[in-house]
Amino acid sequence: MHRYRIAWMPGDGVGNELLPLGIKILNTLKFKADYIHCDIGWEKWKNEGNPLPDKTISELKKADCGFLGAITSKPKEEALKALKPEFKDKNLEYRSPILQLRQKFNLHTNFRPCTSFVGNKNNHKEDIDLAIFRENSEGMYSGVEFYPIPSSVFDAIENQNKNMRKFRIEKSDDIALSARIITKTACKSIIQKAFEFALLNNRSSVTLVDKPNVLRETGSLFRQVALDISKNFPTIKFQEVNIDAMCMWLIKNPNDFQVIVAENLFGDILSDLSAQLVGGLGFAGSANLGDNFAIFEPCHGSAPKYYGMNKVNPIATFLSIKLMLDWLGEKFLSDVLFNSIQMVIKEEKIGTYDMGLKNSNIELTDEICKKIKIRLN
Amino acid sequence: MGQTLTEKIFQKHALDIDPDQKIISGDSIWLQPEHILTHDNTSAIIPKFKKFKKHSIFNKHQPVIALDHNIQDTSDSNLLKYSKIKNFCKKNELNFFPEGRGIGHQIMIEEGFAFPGNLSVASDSHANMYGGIGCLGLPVVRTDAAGIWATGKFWFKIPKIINIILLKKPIASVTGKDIILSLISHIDREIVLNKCLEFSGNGIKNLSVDDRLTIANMSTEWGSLSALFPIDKITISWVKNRNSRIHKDKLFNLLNNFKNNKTAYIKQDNNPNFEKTIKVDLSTIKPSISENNRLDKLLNVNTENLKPIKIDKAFLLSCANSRASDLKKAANKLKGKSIASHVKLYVSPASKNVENELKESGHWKQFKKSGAHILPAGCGPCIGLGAGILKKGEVAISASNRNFPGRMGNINSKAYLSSPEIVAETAINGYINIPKNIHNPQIKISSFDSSKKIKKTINKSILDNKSGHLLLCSNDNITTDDIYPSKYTYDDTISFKKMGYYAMENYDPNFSKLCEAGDILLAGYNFGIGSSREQSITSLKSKGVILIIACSYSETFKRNAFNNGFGLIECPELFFYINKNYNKKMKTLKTNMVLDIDFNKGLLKLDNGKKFKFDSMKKIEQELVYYGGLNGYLNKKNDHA
Repeated sequence: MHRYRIAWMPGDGVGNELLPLGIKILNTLKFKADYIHCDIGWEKWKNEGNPLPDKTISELKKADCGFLGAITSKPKEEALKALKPEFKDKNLEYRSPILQLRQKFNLHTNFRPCTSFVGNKNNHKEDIDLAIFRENSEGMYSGVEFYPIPSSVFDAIENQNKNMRKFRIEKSDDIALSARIITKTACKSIIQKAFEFALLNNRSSVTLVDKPNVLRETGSLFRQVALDISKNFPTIKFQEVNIDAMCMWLIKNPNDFQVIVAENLFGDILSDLSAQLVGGLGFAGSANLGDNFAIFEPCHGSAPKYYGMNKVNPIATFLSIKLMLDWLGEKFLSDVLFNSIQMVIKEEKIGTYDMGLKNSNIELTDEICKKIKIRLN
Repeated sequence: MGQTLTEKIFQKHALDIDPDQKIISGDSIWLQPEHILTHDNTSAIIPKFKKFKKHSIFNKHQPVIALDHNIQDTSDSNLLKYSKIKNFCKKNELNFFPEGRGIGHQIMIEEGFAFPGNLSVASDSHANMYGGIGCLGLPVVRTDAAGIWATGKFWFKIPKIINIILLKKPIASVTGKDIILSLISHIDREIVLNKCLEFSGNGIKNLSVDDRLTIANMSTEWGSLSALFPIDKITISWVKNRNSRIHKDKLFNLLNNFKNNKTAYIKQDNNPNFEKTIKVDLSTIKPSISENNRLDKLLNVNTENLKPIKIDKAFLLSCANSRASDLKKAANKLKGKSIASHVKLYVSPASKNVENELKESGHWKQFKKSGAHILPAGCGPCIGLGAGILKKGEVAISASNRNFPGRMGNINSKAYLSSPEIVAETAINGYINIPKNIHNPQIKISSFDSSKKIKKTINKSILDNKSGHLLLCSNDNITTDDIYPSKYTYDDTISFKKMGYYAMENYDPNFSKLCEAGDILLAGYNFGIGSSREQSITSLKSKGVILIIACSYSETFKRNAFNNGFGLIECPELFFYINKNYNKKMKTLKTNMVLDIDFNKGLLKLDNGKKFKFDSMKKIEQELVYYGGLNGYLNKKNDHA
């Protein structure tokens, strides 16, 4: 096997507890790699005024891919308060390091599979197997935002669109604006990925979730691109559902859906909703995919209050590792890992507190390692 | 790539192979051993032998029969059993050694039936011992023993081979027993389980043949299937000293090969195909005593063991450590001393020859003088039979090879194992002196680089393509007790038809309802572990399962399956795929998917078009399946002959 180089970013809180367990899993799989430790996150912000040091970026550039543990993020004001005194007056602004990474490395696709594992007591329903493709670089999270809105911007919009007129308010600080930007290129790339995944993984349908009846311009562009691409995949059923209805349907009939593709904001909502359908964030791994680079991360946060207690479910981390192995082309190892996780959950003998069991995440990891060893022997 | 010595000896005894075929680990072949030893179990093999269509002995020189297990039992039933065996041997003019002559394995060595560079087998687990003199010794099951009597051969899949490199010189007080006890307690059983061990390295020249025999003997307790030492000057001079008992031509050939430095059958090639290498620094090994009733741990001073351990009995016996050199060393320790008053010492020589040698050298008197109880040459207390076995609560130290709970008598007794010297010293003291320092021998284990692995070739298949519905039993480690409950196993009144009804009952009571004739069973890892009951196969066959596809099988289950003409395939990829896509709570799941099996292409095809590759069964395995099992195969082949 090729020896990989992985930029290894434990980040904050339980990331520091879970990533060593991840290495244990990878070593048991006999996956050969150098894990280059890279700093990232809240501690770096507090102490150095930058949550994403340049050295981390340069290491990521040298690596095959990156793996992120968890990051503590707080709103603007709190972030400023937390800064060390010497950085306080330097006009620094906290920007989410993972959003920065997505943009810097053009990781346009956020991929989140949600599988209900047999034996998981917290499954909302059995047989859920969702694959969510969320556009990661634009849409509502494009970062094109104004507060207050400069008058030139306001005037320009009002000139072109009469709907803006009713927002003309005396006080400029009573109004803010975030723009939803949709580009054909980004749409094409995410929809193409979703269809390709469906084809390769025997999924029979792809569902586009948006709100084109209200978001007429951006929504129409998105669905038009989707309709065009769907023609290239005649064996896969293409369907459209509005975001509001989708939230309802996912709870009522999650088994009716297979591959879901959505814009950034809606995809963000659906991913967390879907994670809860299959037992919560402890079972949600994710991949941030670009054309030639990728960063993998469990979806949960840094859970500082649990750090050091070995309570937090490591399966989300392991499922993210599985996605990494898939992306690197280590199909067999990925299958071995996934099947080992499946088996341990199914046996309902060893599990963390969120699974209704009493084991530490170390014990759960060791049990999965045992299954891996049998599978590799 | 070169061959290991183990592979070379297999090659020498292989039948029906291409002249240019190099036998390697993983091959399944027919083997013709030079000799086969059976003991008291001969009586159970005779009826199996009589089931063959032509039940005449293939080669009357091949079998060796030695009565050694229950020799102190003079009950009518045992005497009748022994006389039946004797009559059978007499009628067929077989090599026979009566009770009291010695332990079968020792006789095999003494009489040259186990000969350097050859393969000899026994229907007993301690056949590994022959490896001490460079003779590949393998244990076989009773069915195979009967088959060898009738046809001269048995089939075997050559396991993975592990190289154990012994380096440097052990300190003077360390014996073969200390070395093997240290290896067993410091190296995970899983590493050597069901593998062939092969020793090499410059430390071997410091080990006597008797040390090597003890190490090879107890490789059985470690879990390996064989343990082969190379043939060196020490082996040759040992064999030469016994030349009166050995056929002249055989000896001449061996000496000639050795003298001319012919590597064939003498030592391993350069760069052979080992799965793992274990390097052991012999100079770091210390005199060792096993914990009571277990071998995976040595006795050390710790919180539980603060005081010396008082013993009731001490044993100098068994095929592991009751040869002349062992008993001489023990007798020397006893010289001028007496056994502690609360201790009984039992001595049983490995053979009558050993006893005679000790009588000649004068050591025998010492045992009598010290008040030891002398038992006839045989297995005795080592297998929990006859005088001296352990009673409830008794504590013993023994030079034998096995100490699992109840082995040497009552389940609530304790047995510690050590070298004969330590046994003698302990018998004198009356207490076990617990070693003070934690024993930390230097051992390095390295794996063979998997990228060097030899690519498998797809054999053309004689089997017709098959097709059936997939039935998923997704658990790992489904045991033979899950497949066929033990409560039915010894009920001989259950017909073949009825067996199917009980199939998988302990795994899933619904199996019987869900499984239909013609189904293909798909299962996880280690399918069929546990006892070797053959009904685990016949019950599934009776239920109408046409074939099993699992990720891996226990080797015993595999052998049973092929011997009963039942096909097995390994394909983890299919298992992963089905499990991912049919993730259901049920223990047994009807997938409604049809699977086509193409044996020629080694291809599995699901009805949704998805394809998976598998390694076709070996030629022998296919033939056994084709002819409906071992009996069918051997009868068929005999008809042609």
